[in-house]
Amino acid sequence: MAREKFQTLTEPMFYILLTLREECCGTDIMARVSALTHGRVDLGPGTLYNLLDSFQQAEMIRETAVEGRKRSYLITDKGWETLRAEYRRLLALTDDYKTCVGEEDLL
Amino acid sequence: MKNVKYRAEALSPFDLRGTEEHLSAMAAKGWRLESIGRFLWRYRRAEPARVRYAVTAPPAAGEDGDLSDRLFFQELCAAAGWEKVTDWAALQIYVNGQEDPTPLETDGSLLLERVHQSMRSTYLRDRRNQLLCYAFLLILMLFQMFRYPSSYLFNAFSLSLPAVCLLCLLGEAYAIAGYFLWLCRSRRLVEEGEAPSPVSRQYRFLSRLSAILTAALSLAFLCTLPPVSRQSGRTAAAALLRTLTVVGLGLGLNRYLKGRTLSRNAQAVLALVCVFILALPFIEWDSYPGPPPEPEADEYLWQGQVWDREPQDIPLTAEDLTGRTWPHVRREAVLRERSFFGSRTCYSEDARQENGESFSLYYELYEVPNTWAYGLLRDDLLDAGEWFPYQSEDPAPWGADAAYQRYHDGKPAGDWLICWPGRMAELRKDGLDARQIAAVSARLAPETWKEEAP
Repeated sequence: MAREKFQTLTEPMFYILLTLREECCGTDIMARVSALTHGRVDLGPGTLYNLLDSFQQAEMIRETAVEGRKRSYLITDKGWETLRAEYRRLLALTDDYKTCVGEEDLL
Repeated sequence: MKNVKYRAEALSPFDLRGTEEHLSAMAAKGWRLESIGRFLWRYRRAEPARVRYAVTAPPAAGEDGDLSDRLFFQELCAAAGWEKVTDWAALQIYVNGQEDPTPLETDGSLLLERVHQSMRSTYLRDRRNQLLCYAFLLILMLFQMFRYPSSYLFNAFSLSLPAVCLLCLLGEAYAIAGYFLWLCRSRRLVEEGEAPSPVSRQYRFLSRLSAILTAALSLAFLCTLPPVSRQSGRTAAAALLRTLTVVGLGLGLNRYLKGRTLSRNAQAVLALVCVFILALPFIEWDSYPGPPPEPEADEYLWQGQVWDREPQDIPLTAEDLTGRTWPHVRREAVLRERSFFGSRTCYSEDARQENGESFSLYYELYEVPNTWAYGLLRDDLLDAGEWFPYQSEDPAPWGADAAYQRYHDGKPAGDWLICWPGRMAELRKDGLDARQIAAVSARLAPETWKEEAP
């Protein structure tokens, strides 16, 4: 079930996993996603909480530290596998676009 | 100037957008939500400001949620400028004073699924249970109605119960249907990249109307309650007061135990045991005869009993039956049941002579102008005497259409049912002679019948 749920990742899912290459706490994730995407991707705290919970249940991330209200996470091998699969899927999409339309149209 | 305001808000818990907009509008008027009680929302006066509210269903919300999960969620919200205002059943309400804050929820589909999960375990579960309760009650009442029609037809309270029950059932069904319609609409909107749908205006209007109707019906219920005599009214009031005291103590105890380190089941068992112990003295009180009755201004005490100074008029008196004057009299007339179809009034009289000789009288009068209801009631009264059946007697001495007397082991029991057009009387008096029967007829037969009778 969890595999099916994360077969394709939404933008917030993708960036959360990408951010968790390094150990990171919840509040930092929001800041880093915003910085990485130059504010293009908004990550609300409710959505972040829910996704962290879902990722943890699917064993795609693990909790590394709990200090008071702060919790830190790190991506797992399974999370990496999902992230890479998503990257390959996105590459396949762009390749298909290039094949059909060509690169000049992008400019 | 009051700094706190209480309001009864008719907002559905799944009406996220409606609630958020309402709270923002209240804040703009200078009233910030402080807490949500069982019936009322508490607002505190503040500087009018443009603030954003968000209603959300965090997985750890509610009393059963893990505390560390809740704190972590609040930490994330605080980092984005969202401060928790209060819990609302399994939901939570947050406020943000920033100009253009990041929304608390940026993924509508995730929010919807969490809200749905939360509603399933709270709102929908409660609605479903209430709907089943109403359906069960309605079936039970309809069954009783067909089995004992007279018990319902002459009692406006009983008569209105199935109708009210049906209305409540329809209200619950409407609430459930309204929720699923909202969910479908919201899912469609979220798939299109928009926020969950607000609850429709019709649904909001009907929810408010339903709340007003419920209050009005409750009042109507009280008005249709049959009047009680002074004595039974006092007893009922005392019983109500005792029940409220025990319930109040129980609720207080439950609140006190909430903060203790006990499991919910242990709390419930402990509260029940304590309430039972608290209720014991009240149960004991009921078994004591209590002090002698205190006479009112229009009463007096004689031989340890209360008597009327100026007895009220009743259709048939001890004096009518005995032809003698009784110096000490106590009378009661109680309208027991009344509805569109007719009424039932109970009359009683206790009379004493100075030498202690006593005479008691009890009878009930049914006024039933409707022919169909009249037949139904007469059949019901005749059927009711399963062990002491009514047997037909000669109605002529009573000047009536029909007369019946109960028999016990083949002997007359002295319980009479006398039927005149539009009126019936049940009289408990044995050994009535011809003069007394004529007195009953003269006093209880309808005037129109007496004029028309040959």
